[in-house]
Amino acid sequence: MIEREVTIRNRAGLHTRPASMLVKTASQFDADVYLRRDNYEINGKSVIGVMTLAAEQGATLTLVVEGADEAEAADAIEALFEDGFGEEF
Amino acid sequence: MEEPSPEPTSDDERVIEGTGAAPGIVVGTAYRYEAAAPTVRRDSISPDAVDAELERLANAVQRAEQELEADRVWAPDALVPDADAIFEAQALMLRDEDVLHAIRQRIQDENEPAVGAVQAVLSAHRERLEDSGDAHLRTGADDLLALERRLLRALRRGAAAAHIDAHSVVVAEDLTATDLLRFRRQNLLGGVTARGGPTSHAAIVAQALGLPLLVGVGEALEAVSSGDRVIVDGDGGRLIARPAPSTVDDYRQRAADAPSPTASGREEPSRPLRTTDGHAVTLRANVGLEAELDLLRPAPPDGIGLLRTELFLRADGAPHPVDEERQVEAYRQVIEAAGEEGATIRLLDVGGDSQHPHGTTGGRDDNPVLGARGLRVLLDRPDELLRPQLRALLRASREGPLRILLPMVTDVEEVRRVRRILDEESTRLTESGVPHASNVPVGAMVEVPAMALQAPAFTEVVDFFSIGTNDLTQYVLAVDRANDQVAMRHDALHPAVLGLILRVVEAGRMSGCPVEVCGEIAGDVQAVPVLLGLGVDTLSVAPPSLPAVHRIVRAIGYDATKDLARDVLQEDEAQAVRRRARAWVDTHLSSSDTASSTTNTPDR
Repeated sequence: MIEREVTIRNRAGLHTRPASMLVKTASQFDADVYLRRDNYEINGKSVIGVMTLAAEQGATLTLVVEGADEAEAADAIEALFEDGFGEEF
Repeated sequence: MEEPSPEPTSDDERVIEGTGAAPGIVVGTAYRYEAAAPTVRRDSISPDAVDAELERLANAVQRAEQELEADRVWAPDALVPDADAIFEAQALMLRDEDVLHAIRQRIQDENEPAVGAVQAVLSAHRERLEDSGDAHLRTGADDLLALERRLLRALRRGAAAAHIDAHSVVVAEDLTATDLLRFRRQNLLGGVTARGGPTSHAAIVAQALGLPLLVGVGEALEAVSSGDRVIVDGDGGRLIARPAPSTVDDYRQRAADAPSPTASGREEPSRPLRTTDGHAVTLRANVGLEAELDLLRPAPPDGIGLLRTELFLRADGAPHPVDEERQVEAYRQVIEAAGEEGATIRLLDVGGDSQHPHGTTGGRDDNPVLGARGLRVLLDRPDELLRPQLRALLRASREGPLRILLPMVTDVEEVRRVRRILDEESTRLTESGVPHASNVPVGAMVEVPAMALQAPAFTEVVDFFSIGTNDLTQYVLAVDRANDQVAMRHDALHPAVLGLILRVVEAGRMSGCPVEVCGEIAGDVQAVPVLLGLGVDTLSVAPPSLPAVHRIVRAIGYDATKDLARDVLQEDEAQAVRRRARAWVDTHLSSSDTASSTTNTPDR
């Protein structure tokens, strides 16, 4: 199991479009993906779940990945956050 | 005319006035259709019904996915920034297993109906987002609301569709074009709506399908229950609820006397069509649905004057109307059905009121008719929409005479750009050895007032004008024809609209550029003499209106229409023009037997 801290860098936060990017990426892997904000944890393959994190710019989330391809999955998802989902910072 | 088992009580009869939006008379059984009620009944279902309810949910999700896909095709990027991303997110949301699981759980464990379960689960998620302090994130709540509405609609649709039988007249708050198409497959007889105007998209579809449609019949909702026998009189703009047997007989007689639109369309009309004093008039057919091609056998003598490609390519629910091969096949059929005089095919006119085929009234594009629509969309997305359609048209052009019509043109430069692209595609086809017609005529719809005012400049770049009076009127009078509060003000016989038509006719005449009218007004018997008098000599009308227009043209003198046109241009409002035109028609037709009851004359 991999656990990493990720930060929302893009200005508009984890709104609908980034949420669907994240879910599409997570769904490419077999590993289970979870995102946690404070005590609220959601399935990283549920777009509505990701949206309800209501994670604004600067928010920090815990990314939890578990499964055979967890390393690749964690890297791919982390890269999205790093890149601000291709949006403005 | 079909009818169900008779058992009417006579003292219950009630006549309700409305506006006829599509002609014809039918007797049928009312079906009250509710497209999407805003409130949810949270009754529980019986434990035995759980499996059926889960099945209903699964079907609704599937229907919603199909609808979404259709919407995606019909709302190109240019209409909403980031449209593709929005649709992609909506599709992901519809397939969100966690949320679907939670909804199923409520149905199973709490015996909640699917509608209530969907609303409960999605609104809980939505509330989380609405609480966010971040404006960007709050927009997610709108996306969830859209999803919720889509699912609720899909759930209700399934329930509604199950009850329609072949004798039904649908009575609804409002009907969309797609509602009508769907019901038509179940052999719906006619429609009645509380809202809507006579020139709405639904009205156009109803005319095309030969379905009598009444609009603006607000009282119908309280006066009619499902199962009531009703008469829809689309000619007289009247709904008769629970008619007495004598009333039914009366209407049955009238319907029998009136030539059925389809039947009389098969008469062999004399050609060329001439007024009593020998002036030749060209009368073409408007086509918007594949089904309408059947109404055009034998081929209309003067061909097809307007083929609307948006509904045509969509009629059978094809998810990808821009698929080039499918388009080529469709256009070949049209050109073949059009006969020797060929077909005028209009490029995709997406946007405006046809942008939301499922009747959403979202606040996102408050002014779609002033937004990205028609040629604006095509030029924004040349590779996806414009080039494939032009290529398909060129490839089909060997089938017979073809003319290309551009929708929603504002500037001369837009036409030049399309012509350049058309030339490029033609050259490419030639290089690939694909045979096609060269010099396909290109015309422009006159819908935007700016274009009508600048008509002389356009004569240099177009081969013909086609005046779309529905939209032109909407823009000139600042009246949204889909808004029932103002729809009655929408009348193309307004002197301001007629003045613009005259201007275009004169510009055309100066330069030898043909001008035709393809709006609904061309099928309105009171308007036909006015249009002829203004110098319009080519009309394009819905197939059901062909016989009536044919009759009136043959019954009137061209010289006399000139006087009428001069007179009506002096009037200062549409109603006055209409009064004058009606009196003129009554006087000039009193000796002939042109039956005005069978014609498409929405009384305003």
